Amino acid sequence: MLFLGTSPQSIAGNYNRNAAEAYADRWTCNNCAEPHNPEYNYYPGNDCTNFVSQVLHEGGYPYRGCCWMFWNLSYWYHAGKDSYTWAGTPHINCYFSRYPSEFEYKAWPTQLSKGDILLCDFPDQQGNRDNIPDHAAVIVGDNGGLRDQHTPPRKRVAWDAYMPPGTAYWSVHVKW
Amino acid sequence: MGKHRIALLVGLVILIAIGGVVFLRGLKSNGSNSEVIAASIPDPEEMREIQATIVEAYKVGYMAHVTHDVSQFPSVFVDDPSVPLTPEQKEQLRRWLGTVPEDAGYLTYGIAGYYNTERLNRLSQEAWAKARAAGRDYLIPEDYLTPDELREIEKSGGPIPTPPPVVYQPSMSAEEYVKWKWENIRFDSVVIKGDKAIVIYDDHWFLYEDILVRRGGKWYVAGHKRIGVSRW
Repeated sequence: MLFLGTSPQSIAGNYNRNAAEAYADRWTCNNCAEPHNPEYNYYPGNDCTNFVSQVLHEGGYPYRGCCWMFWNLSYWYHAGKDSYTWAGTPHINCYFSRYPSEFEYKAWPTQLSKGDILLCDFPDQQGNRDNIPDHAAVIVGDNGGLRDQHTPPRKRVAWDAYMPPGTAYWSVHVKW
Repeated sequence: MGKHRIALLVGLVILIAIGGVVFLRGLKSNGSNSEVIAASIPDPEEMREIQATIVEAYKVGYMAHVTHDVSQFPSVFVDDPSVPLTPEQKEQLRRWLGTVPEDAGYLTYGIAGYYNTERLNRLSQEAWAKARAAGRDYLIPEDYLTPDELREIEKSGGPIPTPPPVVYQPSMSAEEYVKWKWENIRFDSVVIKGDKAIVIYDDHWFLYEDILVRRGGKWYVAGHKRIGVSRW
């Protein structure tokens, strides 16, 4: 059993995957100007994780912490100044890994359900990677298999559409 | 007579303008999907060669991790003192090598990155092999942390580091990869100035700027960086 001394206690609830999917579909599109919900902050050119966080939250996953805790990777919330974990791709991955009772790293993206999260580490031109995620997206569709995302906006494309060969994945299943 | 001269001059200007448009359209439809911005009128063959060099660079990078052989890197990447690494690339090189060699350029960066990626891939494979051996389809910290690391985390109260990602075994052949890359790259501009070319392109994810240099009549990639998000 691992202790999480710097982290608050685990929370528990029921993640509403239909609500998460509906929100994701509502706030993205294909071949369009990226839509964004004015109730949240928007990060033009770097909005993928902010979008994923909104989807998680709209699915019922609650904020953890607030205000001055923005730098702490054990907290996750939207505010005037969002937490690093809310809008930063490597940071949200740190957050997920700190709560194994709420998020599970699956072997394959095809094991994910709608409302789950896909993080990607793209190979660069020389085929190299650094094991730090470059991008975050939300799985949608009744059998998974599709994704919604921001930056660039994509709606209901195949989960691996445009993914360069050699991309590495963190397939994050929301257990909450 | 004066009127005839003016009419002749106007006609000549119109003809030159039409010729220019036809020439540029010809460049765009010669098999390369680019718009042309050039310091001087570019040679279509040269443009095509530069674009093919960039696609070849991606192929060489991809194949290195399929064959576990980095020996092809010098055929397409080069260290060039006139094209320094970005500060981020220098910082990464420092992390991998402990230092940044004075003459390090994009070739050195790529080779160092190759060995680092191979190491990361091994760690991923080992972690997922442990999970599979335990009959799990998900990772737990015990799969990717050593007993000493786990003890240290327990003692200090965390946090748990992020797990390694899943790396798919590459399945495309070199030829399939090249075909895929041509379909998933859009060249936005190519500027050729003597033996240097600056190319901007889009891969559905990001906009990139590559700097190529010509040595002995052959183009090499000497610099590469992300400059924005895809507009494709």
